Formats: sequence, structure tokens, C-alpha cells
Amino acid sequence: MCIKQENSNGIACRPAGGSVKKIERDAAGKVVVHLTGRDEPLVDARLARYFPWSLPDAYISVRDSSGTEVVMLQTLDELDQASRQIVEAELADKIFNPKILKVLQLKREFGITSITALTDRGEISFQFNGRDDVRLLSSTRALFRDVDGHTFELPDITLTDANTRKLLRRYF
Amino acid sequence: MMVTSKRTQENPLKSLPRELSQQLDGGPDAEALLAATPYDLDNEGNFTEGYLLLTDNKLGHFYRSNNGWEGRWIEITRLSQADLIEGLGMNLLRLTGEDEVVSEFRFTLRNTDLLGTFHHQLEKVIEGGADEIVEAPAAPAAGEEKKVRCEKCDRLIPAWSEVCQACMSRRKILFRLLDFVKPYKWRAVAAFAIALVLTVMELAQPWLTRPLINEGFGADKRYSPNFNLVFLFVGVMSGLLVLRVLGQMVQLRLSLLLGSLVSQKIRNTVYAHLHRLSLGFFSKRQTGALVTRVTTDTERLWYFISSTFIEIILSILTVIGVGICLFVMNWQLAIFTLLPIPVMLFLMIFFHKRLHQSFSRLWHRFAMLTAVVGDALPGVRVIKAFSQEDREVKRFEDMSRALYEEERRYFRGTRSVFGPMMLLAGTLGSLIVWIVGGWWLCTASPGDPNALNVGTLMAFQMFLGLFFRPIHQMAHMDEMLNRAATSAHRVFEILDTQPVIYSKSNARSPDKLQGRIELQNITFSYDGVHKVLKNINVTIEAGQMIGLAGPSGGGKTTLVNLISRLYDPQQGRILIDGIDLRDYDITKLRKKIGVVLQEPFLFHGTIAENIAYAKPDATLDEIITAARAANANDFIVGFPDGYDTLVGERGQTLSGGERQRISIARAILNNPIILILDEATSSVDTETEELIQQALDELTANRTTIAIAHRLSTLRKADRLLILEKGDLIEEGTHEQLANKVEGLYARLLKTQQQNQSFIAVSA
Repeated sequence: MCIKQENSNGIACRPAGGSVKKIERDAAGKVVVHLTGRDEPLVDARLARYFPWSLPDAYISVRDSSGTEVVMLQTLDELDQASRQIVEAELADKIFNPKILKVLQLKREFGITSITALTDRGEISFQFNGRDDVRLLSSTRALFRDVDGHTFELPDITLTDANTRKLLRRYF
Repeated sequence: MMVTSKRTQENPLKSLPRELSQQLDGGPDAEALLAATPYDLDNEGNFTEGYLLLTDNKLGHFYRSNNGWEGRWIEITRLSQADLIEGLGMNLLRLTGEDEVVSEFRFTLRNTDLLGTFHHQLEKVIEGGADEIVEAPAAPAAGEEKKVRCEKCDRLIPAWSEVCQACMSRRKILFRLLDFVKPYKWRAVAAFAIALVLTVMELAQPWLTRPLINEGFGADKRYSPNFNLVFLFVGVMSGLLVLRVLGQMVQLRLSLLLGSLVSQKIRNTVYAHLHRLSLGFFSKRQTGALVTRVTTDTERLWYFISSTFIEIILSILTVIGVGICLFVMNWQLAIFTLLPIPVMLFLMIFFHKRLHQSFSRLWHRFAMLTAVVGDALPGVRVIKAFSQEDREVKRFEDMSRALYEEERRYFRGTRSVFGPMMLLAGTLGSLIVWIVGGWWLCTASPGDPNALNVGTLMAFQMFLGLFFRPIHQMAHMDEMLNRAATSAHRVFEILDTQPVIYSKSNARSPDKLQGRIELQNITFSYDGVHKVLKNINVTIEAGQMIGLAGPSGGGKTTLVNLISRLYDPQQGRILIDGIDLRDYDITKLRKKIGVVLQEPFLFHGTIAENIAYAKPDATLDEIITAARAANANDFIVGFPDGYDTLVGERGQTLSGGERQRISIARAILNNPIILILDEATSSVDTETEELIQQALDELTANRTTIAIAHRLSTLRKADRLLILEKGDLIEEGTHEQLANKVEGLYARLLKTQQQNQSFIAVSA
């Protein structure tokens, strides 16, 4: 299910299915996607990011309920305002990735690191095993994966206060 | 109808907060409670505190508000579906009615286990009503259930561990090392005793200096110079020196050897423990980091035990001993001399933290550097094929530079400041002795027997040399202690991890297995929510050959992993010859199960050793017979070195088909009752496949065989085929039955493959 497209490599590939006309919600709250070149709309569509961390607002996969991709949105600018809001709401809906604004306490005990931090979702305490759970996305941005599998993002260490920088410097 | 018999949780009411359970208690709903799970996010993804409760006809939704717990009940009849949707870092439970979303609940991953059970139960209630609830899944035997939080301190227990790291390791890490010293305690005591005597002898030297100068040289006016006395004192000093040199030799020999013995023991224990751990532990860790723990960390511990540990204790004793001597000789001067000590202590405490932090950063950078090498070298073929050598070299250089930067920061900021500061504090004491002692000496009235004399002043100076040296040394020891503690911690972290899968104490020995396998209601998930296998029920008769097919990600490999008990299922059970897998002795059971993998792993050694891997005491005849049966004998004898051919770390001198046949020979020699072929022929050409197929026919005769294959022709001899798709067993039957099934997945796959093959045939 792949349409060959010519680009510099000659192997670019977009899934078949035309492009998105309009996205709405039905009475049951399911996402309905109307596509060009297809009479039947796609009901109960699922959305997924291609690059959740490096490029969260572009490259959105529109898939059917079984997870097969129907179309890819390269940018959300293709969409009208209402459709775009649904996409953004839907993407934000199934994601829990608090952003760390300020670290209040960092305690290391027997290999478990406990961080109490102020995030955009309120104050949170989380634990992780060690450095292997800290992923550097750039020299200033990091992800902390806690023991339950939650992801806490530190968007930019240079924008935090001195104490946070001091506590987290060891991971950079 | 006994309500309690249906409960999946011990008593859901007990898991609720007290106020809420009190509010519910006594009511009819509390009686009928089947399950409960906390939910902790509101619709905007902010934190909240609430609970979902389930009875056989109602779903309760309670949350904490300003007026205590509020909530409502939803009739199950309103619901037609309950979907558990996985998000990133959260789960969403969506309840839908006929044509509308009734409610949505959001959960962080903290209580995933409870949520999984709750959802399972909810689905059952919605589907068939309470009366048709299948009996609660077999309760796991005590101790096998994984705890989420520590009962003592409420800390979360890491996924790969069974024990609370904090509570388990409460005892001071370094003192735990003494457990490893215990077997050699007499050696340790001897080394320590000698070191103690040496310290006392060290103190005697300056102590003798005072009478030497005062009485021998006649510095005290009451005495006149007397060379005989000088000779006597120097003689005693020389004697002590000889004894000290000899004693030190013995002591070093003892303690170095002790360190070696202990670190050998730790090394072996850690390595053996690694092999006891379940597969899940390894899939979560980098091999390079584990290698460092077995080698580098244990070496650091050797250094700690052989020198640092004794040195630290002796240094403390020396400091105390010198202190006593000083006070006995002249307590006023002693007070002045010790003035710089608080400064030193402050410096030590101040630098302690920084040293530790810097050091753990350094260690991490070093481990990352090791990981780069460990990642790249096994992939050298890929690197060369895409000519990415320069990039790999650059990756290494980047890491290497990062290590250098960290070292520079460490040396500049901490290491290079600490030592000189300590030197300053140390020399200060000596100057104080000269100036204060000198003042008293010069101003003393002549003939006063209690006045400070030259001998005492010189003895003070010599004592100071002894005194500040151990403190100065303790600065470095502090660093060594940090290293040792970091390393010890890493080692104990592994030792404290208990294998998730282990044999029960009264495990059965699977001596006479027939090989009948029953899977009953097997549901398995690696993370608790995403189900890789859903309610699988299969019976495989002894001696049957079963083919497993279906799209990737269908759960085929997971299923055979469960049968080899690499993981335990969350729900349901697996019986072999009618007995639960978990009741067997796991080591003995796995000996009865043979596995041939898609990418056979050959260990460094000869071909013969590799074939005999599972049965090291096999005779050469047995090895040859097995190789013949595997169609491997001809090519092996064709090698110049024959069966003595060395295969590299990853068997690089052999082709894929050759390695495959060696691994089949290995399985044949092991003579397993149950044989698992995980895509054993998918990486070889058709002709080789034919040879391998013949070998497999030999192997599968009279054994229970489970073969996974993408190439469906491999499965033509199977008695029965199971088709798995997304964790569901969607088709089951013989090749003929499934091939002729209209709209069947197997029929479709078969058709595609036949088309491809005729295409290959035509183009060839």
C-alpha cells in the first residue's frame, strides 16, 4: 500500500489513501477522517506521532483501528482549524509526559534516584534506577524514564533555576 | 452463589482508602465488590485521586472532593464495550454504550497490574453477566507475585527486581563486603594484627627521639652528652626498623592475597548470579555495562579490600595514637598543634560530596566509551559494508573527548585543589610548633624542670610528620572509598536482584516426560497492559508436530518462550503431562526442551564442543552421529581442521546454513522430549533448507515439536497448524483444512507464497 513518489532519493513513499479533507468526531467521540478519493470516511481513526520527541507537531500517522496506516499528515497546516484542533486534542489526550519546570529535591539512595519536581501537571515524585533511564535528546534536553514507564521531560536545562541545574548537571 | 469465590482480588475493599471503604462498608455494593482499581488522572491529564469499583451489575466511580468521597454508579447494562487504550505514559479506559462514550478514565502506569485485572474482569461482566464469569485465574503461588511497592518504605520496586533496593541494602554497603571476607577471617585478623603492631612501632620512633636528644646529646642542661646512651637509643631504633620492614612484607603479602581471594569470590558470585537471572533482566540492560560490573568493579573491590580498608583503619589508629603521645608529652603545645585539624576536617567534608559526584560522572562517561566499542565491534561487517568506519571512529572520539572533558573538570575543579589545600593545613601545624614551642623554649626560666625542652620540640615535629601523613592520605582514601562504594553498590545491585523465575523448593523432577503440552487460558503481557497473547487454549499431544504461523508480532515466539518458561504467564497455566510448568524443577525441565533458533549462536570453541554444548560428556561417536543426522557431517569433515575447526565468537567462518545445521546437531544430541524450532530454516537457501528439513525430520520423529515458520512449506509435515494474529489464536487445523478455508488467513498467506515461488521459478 505504497505510492512511489519521486524525490531526491527516488524512494519516498506515502501510504495510499489520498489526502485528508476533514476530521471530525462522531456521537461516540470516535475520530472520523474524510479522505479525498475515498467515499467512505475512516471511522475510529487512531493518530500517532512519527517523531514524538524530535518533531512532535509534524509527521502524524492516521491509522485505522487495527493500526494500519491510511494516510500521513506531513504537517498540520494542511488541515482546517476545526480538524486541526481535533488532531491536537486527540494526540494530547493519550499522552502523559509532564514537563519538569523545577527540581525540588533529588535523592540518591542505593542506586534508586528519587526526584521531586514541579511540573506542568503539578508536583510529582518519581523514581528511576540510574543513568540508563536518562536519555539525552540534546545537550540541554533530557527525558527521564521512571520505574513505571512514565516519561518526564526536561525541556531545556539552561532555562531552569540554579538549584535544578546543579542537581541535574550530572546527567549532562 | 458464593460471591467471594469470584473475586479476583483478595478483598477489593481492603485496597481502598479507609474513608472510602468505611463509606461503602455494610452497603450492598461492598458485599458484591469484584474488583477495584485506583485512577489518578483527570480528563485534562492532571493529578486526581479516584477509584473504580466493579460489582456484577454496576461500575462505581469515586473521587475525592472537598466533602470527602463522592461518586456514582453506572449500570453495566448501559455499557457495550470497555476498551483499554495504551497511550504514552498512561492508559485510557473508554466505556462505550450503544452509540456514545459513557465515560473515560485515565491512569498513570503506577497501578497497571490492578488496572489490567480490573479491565479483564469488567470485560467479562459486560460480555456475559456475572454468572458466566470464568473461575478466577489460578492464583499464583505465594511469593511469585510481583510486588509493586515495598511494604516497608512504600518505595517502588524496580521492574527488573523483586526486592526493594532501599530496604534490602540498608546495611552499609561497604560493611556488606565483610560478608565476603568471612571465610578468610583468620588471614584478615593476622594481617590486621601485624599492621597494628607496626603502627605502635612507628610511634615508638619519635617517642625515643626525645630522650635521645635530651639525655644522649645533653640538650637538657641536667644531662651531659653521653655517646653510649646515643648508641643504645639508635640501636633500639634500628632494631625496630628491621622488624618493621619484615613485618610490612608479611602484612602486605597477607592482605594482597586476601584481596585477591575475596575479589575472586565476588567476581564468581556475581557472574553466577547473572546466569540465574531471568531473560527479562538482560533485555533491559546493555551487555557492555554488565561486563564492566563483572570485571572493573570487582577489581576496584580487590584494591579496596587489599589496601584501602586496612590503611583507613590504621590511619585512624595512628591519628589517635599520635594525639595521645602529644598530649602526654606536653598538653599545652598539643592544643596549639592540633588547631589546624578542624580546618582539615572541614575541607574533607566539603570535598567529599564533590569527589563522589565527579567520580560517578567519570564512571558513567567511561562506561559509555566502553559501550561504543562493545556496540561497534560485533557489527563490524555492517560498518564496513556501508563504509561507516570514519563515523564510528568519530563516535568513539566524541565519547573519548567527553571523557577527557569530564576528567579535566574533575582534575581542575577538585583533584588539583584538594591536595594542596591539605598540604597547607598540614604544614601550618609544623610552623605553629616552631613558633609557639620556640617562644616557650626561649622564655623559660633556666633550670625549670617542667619547661619545654629541645627534645620534646623535636619529638613534636617528628610526630607531626606521622600525624598529618595519615590525614593527608585519608583524603585520597576518601576518594578510594568513594570508588569502592560505587563499585560495591553496582555489584550488590545485581546480587540483590532475585530471579523472577525460579524453581519451587519442592519442585518435581521431570524424569519420564511424555511431552503432552496443555495451554489453559494463557494471557501474557510484557508490560501488563498490551496483551501479546490473549486467552490461548491449546492441547498438544505427546509426539505431535505443531506448526505455528501468522504475521510477525502475533505472539509466536512469546508462546514458545512461555513453554520453555523463560517468562511466566500472567493468567492461565501451562501443563506438561498434566502438571503445572511452575511445579517442575526449571533446570531439569529445560534440559528436556531443545531449541533451534533462527540465528544459532555458536560459542568460541571447536565444532565438536559446540555440538556437545548441552551434553559435555558426549562421546565422539555420539557427536558424529548427531552431526550425520543433522546433515552436517559432510561439510564438517570437508574442513581442513574437521571437527576441531575453531568457530569464532559468532561463528564467522561458517555460512548461515552450516551454523544452522550445527545447532540442529546440538539439539539432536541433547535428545529433548519437546523440541522448539523458532524459524530454524528461514535464513537459508532452498537447497540448504531441503538438507536442513531432512535433518529436522530426523529430529522431530517421536518428539513433541513446535515449529515456527514464515516459509509455510516447512510446516507441511505438521500434524496441526496454529495461526496466531495479534495475540489471538484465529485458526487451528491441518494443512488441508486451513488451506481450503475460504477467507482464511493461512489460505491467504499460502497463496501469496505460492505466487512468489512461481514467480521465482519463472524468473530463474
